[in-house]
Amino acid sequence: MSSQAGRSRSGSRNPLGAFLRKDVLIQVRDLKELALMLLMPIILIAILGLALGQFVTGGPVQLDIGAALVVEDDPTAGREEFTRRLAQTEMPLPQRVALTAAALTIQPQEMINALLSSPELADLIAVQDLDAEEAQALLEADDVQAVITLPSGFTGEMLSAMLLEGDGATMDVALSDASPLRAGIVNDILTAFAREVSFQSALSQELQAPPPGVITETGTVEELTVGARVPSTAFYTFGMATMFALFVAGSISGRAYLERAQLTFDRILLSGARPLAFLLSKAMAGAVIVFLQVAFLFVAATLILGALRGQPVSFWLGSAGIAAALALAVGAFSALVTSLNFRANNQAMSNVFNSVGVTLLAVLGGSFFPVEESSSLISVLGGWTPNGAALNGFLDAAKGFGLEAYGPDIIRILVGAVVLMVAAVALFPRKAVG
Amino acid sequence: MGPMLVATDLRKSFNGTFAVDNVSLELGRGESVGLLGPNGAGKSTTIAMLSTLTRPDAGKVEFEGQDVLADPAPVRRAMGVVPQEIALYPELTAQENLEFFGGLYGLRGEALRAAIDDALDLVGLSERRRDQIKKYSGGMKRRINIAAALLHDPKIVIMDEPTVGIDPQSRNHILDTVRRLNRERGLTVLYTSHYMEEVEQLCDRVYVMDHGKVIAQGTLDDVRALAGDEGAVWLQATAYPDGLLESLRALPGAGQAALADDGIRLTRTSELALIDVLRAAEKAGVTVTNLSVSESSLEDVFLHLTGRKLRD
Repeated sequence: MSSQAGRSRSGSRNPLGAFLRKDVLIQVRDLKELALMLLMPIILIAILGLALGQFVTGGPVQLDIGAALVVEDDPTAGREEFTRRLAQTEMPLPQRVALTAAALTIQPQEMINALLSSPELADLIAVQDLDAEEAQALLEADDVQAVITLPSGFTGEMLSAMLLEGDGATMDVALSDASPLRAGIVNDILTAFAREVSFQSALSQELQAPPPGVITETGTVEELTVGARVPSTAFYTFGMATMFALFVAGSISGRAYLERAQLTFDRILLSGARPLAFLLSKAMAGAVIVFLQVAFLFVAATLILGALRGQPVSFWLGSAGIAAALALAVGAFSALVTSLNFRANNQAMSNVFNSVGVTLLAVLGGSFFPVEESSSLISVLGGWTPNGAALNGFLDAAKGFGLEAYGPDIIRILVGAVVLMVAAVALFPRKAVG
Repeated sequence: MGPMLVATDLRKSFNGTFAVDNVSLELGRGESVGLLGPNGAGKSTTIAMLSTLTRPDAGKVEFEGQDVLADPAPVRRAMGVVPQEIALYPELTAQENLEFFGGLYGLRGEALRAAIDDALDLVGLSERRRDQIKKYSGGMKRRINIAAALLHDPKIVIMDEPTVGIDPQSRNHILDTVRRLNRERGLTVLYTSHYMEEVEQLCDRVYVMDHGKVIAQGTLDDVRALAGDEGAVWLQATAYPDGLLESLRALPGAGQAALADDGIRLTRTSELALIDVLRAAEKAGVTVTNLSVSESSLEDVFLHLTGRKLRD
């Protein structure tokens, strides 16, 4: 040993690599921590994705609504009735000819059929054509949640309402008492449809323009289709990954305090390593571990649950950028909680962060339910949490949006990371030693 | 050439209580010096100040003539510290621990491998290098704890109670390691312990501490002479009634008497007659089962100076 005097001066001193290797090795060898970081999120993604999936998908909601369509109307008789009423008016002949031609393009029954069988509603409502008696029986058994009846004279009244300022057509809707939510949805859709038809009719009459033909879109339908559909398992993959990433900060900072308590920190200082290098290493270790954790969860959720199956390369590249930003933010959290532990000379802050802090951030960030359904204040706050911003970013990427959509989320995360890191450095007790 | 490490009038208090009070000591190059005292005597705090881990309230520490408080880097690079606690990562193997700490000292590649091989060979754990520390026995952990302090080829090594709570075999191995470091490799050693026999085996000079102060110092012979006696008498009897200790202390040539687990220890000078000891026992109504005489030891010195046994 003495023959190699001055060994320590033989190599360049860049301890961050040694710190990183040590911290990652310790983390992956702790089976309890691994289960918390990797196994628990997968289990929760599976449970939440299956149990609560209907409420979070962001696409057409899968409520399996049954509806019966009872047609008592005779379109031919209805057109004859409209022609008779038109003849009784004092309109000039050219206008009557134009309205007659317009009436030929309007098929009220087809409008209802087109609405209910539209691609947007096909996943939501299954429509059966039945007679009144069968429909009533199914309604009483709650096998269907609504019975839509187009009564006799519906076509004639509708054409009159649309083209002749008639009183309007009546469409009977009987709703199930047993499934008020689903019945209410049918009612809302039909009400919106009726309102749309009334609005467009009034508009065309005001402008003296031909009325619309078959209505193919309604406001209600448009509200249900924002971006591409995100499966519930994908939503919870993002939610759980961003939430469980936060636990890494508590874990890293808790271990950092143990290093001080067990004097390995003293041994590190005796080597000449600077205290701030130790702090920086905690941020770095947290970042690397979180990035690996998120990557693992995305891949595992896709392989096991099919959560992100079929996503294009652009999604994976975007997600890598978002995950990297999230990793840096959690790394900064690790450093901040380490500083607080060292300042307080205990590891209570790690425990508080893992219990209260993570829960609060997870709720605000929308890991359990979309925060846009909450108050605007919570939504804004959630968007500024690292996990909430990352979750928004992942969702945007999964819906097919590009950097222009999730770029602001990445910037928010990075701004947060810088603020946290500055606070960590400011709070780290420089005179802990010496 | 002057002393390697000199501490002058070190003081350190915690919450108004002096843990170290005006302690001065020095270590010459290649010396093996003992720092002796019971738990709470201030040994660990003294070591923490010498190794720059704790800043003293007053006093100074110089390493090779340089003020270590102004610039701790040189002494940190030249010093290997073996803390009383196992300052290692239990989840890592011995090899990984040593790679980490060696890496912090800037060791890389072949130099690092050679340093690890050397340190493991010295503490006799080369065959167990791939085992995680948490799977080691207490004695093995302490041996790796020593190895980690030697990787960077220090000039001076400070050991804080390196044999606490381990089996005799590991203890002997550690004592042999310390002896080799000092005598074969020329390292300067500061060895703290509350085991008198360890210091007597390993050290040329000794500082005895109690209640934060150095109460005796010098070569082993110098310190033994402070006891002012020539050894001790061990008395084992069928019983130890009240008054026996007082009777023994009152004998001509008797010093301190204390009841231990294995009998009464009575320090003595040459004036003490053993027949008087037997008569005192007979007078107290007990039968003596064993009577032995030993030379003066550091234990006797501590007992003489403080009236307490070292391990009380």
